[in-house]
Amino acid sequence: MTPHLSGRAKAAVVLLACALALAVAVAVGRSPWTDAAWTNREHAVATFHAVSFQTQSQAAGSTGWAHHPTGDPAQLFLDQEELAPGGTRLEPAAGPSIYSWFNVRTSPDTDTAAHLSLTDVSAVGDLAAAVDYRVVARTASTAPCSAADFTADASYLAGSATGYAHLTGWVSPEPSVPLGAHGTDPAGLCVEMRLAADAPNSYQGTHADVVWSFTVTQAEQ
Amino acid sequence: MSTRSRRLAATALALAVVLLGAVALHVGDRWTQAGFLGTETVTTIADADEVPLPTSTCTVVSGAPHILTLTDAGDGLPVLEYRVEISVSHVPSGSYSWATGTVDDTPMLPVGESFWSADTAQVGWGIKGWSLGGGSWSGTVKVQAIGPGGWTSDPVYFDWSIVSPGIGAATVTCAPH
Repeated sequence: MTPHLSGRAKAAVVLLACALALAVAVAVGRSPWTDAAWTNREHAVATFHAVSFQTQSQAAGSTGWAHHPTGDPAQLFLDQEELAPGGTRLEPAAGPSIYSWFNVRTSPDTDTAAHLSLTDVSAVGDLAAAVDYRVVARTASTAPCSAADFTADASYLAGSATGYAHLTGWVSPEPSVPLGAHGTDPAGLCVEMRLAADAPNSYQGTHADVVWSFTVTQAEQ
Repeated sequence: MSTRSRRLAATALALAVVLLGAVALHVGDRWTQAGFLGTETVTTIADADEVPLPTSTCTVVSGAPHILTLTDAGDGLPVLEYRVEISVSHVPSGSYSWATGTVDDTPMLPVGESFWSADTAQVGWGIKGWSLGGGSWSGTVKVQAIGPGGWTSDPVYFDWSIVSPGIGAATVTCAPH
């Protein structure tokens, strides 16, 4: 039996059907009246995900801008000075520091801003247990870093004005450094390393392979 | 409220619920667009330096102290001190004694461990005294260079001896271990 509907009831049913169709279309990303344009927009978003968010870096040992993912890191030091403790037999102290620089930016075809943070440090080798380090942000530069970059009001990604991080220790992703879109406003980083005062005598002539990993996160739209 | 009015109200409510759900789904989809990540890595090899080996020599002259020079290879870390440890088979006694102080401007080593600043060119040791019955002593001298933070080089050893016949010149030796 076919139910009898009044004119207003029919209108309500039609309206509900349209709303349902619209809702389903919105939910699945399709529009019933601009199907082609909407599809293009989805395609554009997909392209953005795959191609348009890239990062690049440069360092003292590899000065050209290039992407340096895990497994293909930039070289931090050109002429590596050797580490040693400081002070004397009776009054041991931390050793003299060595410094190097590292710059990071978004790639020229990246459409969005981002922010950079230190997210991992891995070190392999006997010496790793005795190396202290700090990382500060500065204006991107290829000029050498020095103790003057590690001031009390500098932005420390690792360590602090009064303390050092350990290669075998925990890494905090805070704070982060902003990066502009299209390679603008690159971040400059200074890395300092030194040998701890209590580095044992048996560490002479040993070494550690160290990799710092910086994560660049797309800024929220 | 009439039946028609209730139907209209129900229809409007259903429409609102459906639209709100759709908007919520769409906002959720947009939210997931944030948070694309990139990783940049940088590496280095941290090397530790070494304290250079001593290049000490030991020289002997009958009737004079044994002389040990305090020098090093010159490469690696700066040498701040030398550690010298000398042993003797038995401590001289009676009419014999272990030389102390300085002899011809060369400081004499005490038995056991002593530390000498890097600008000390040489140190010596010997037995003072005389006895008709004579005597003999021997031992080992160990030298290490000391760098920053107290890091020390590998040791260098010399074996030494003094044989006094009582009458006549003593026989003295000192050679790398």
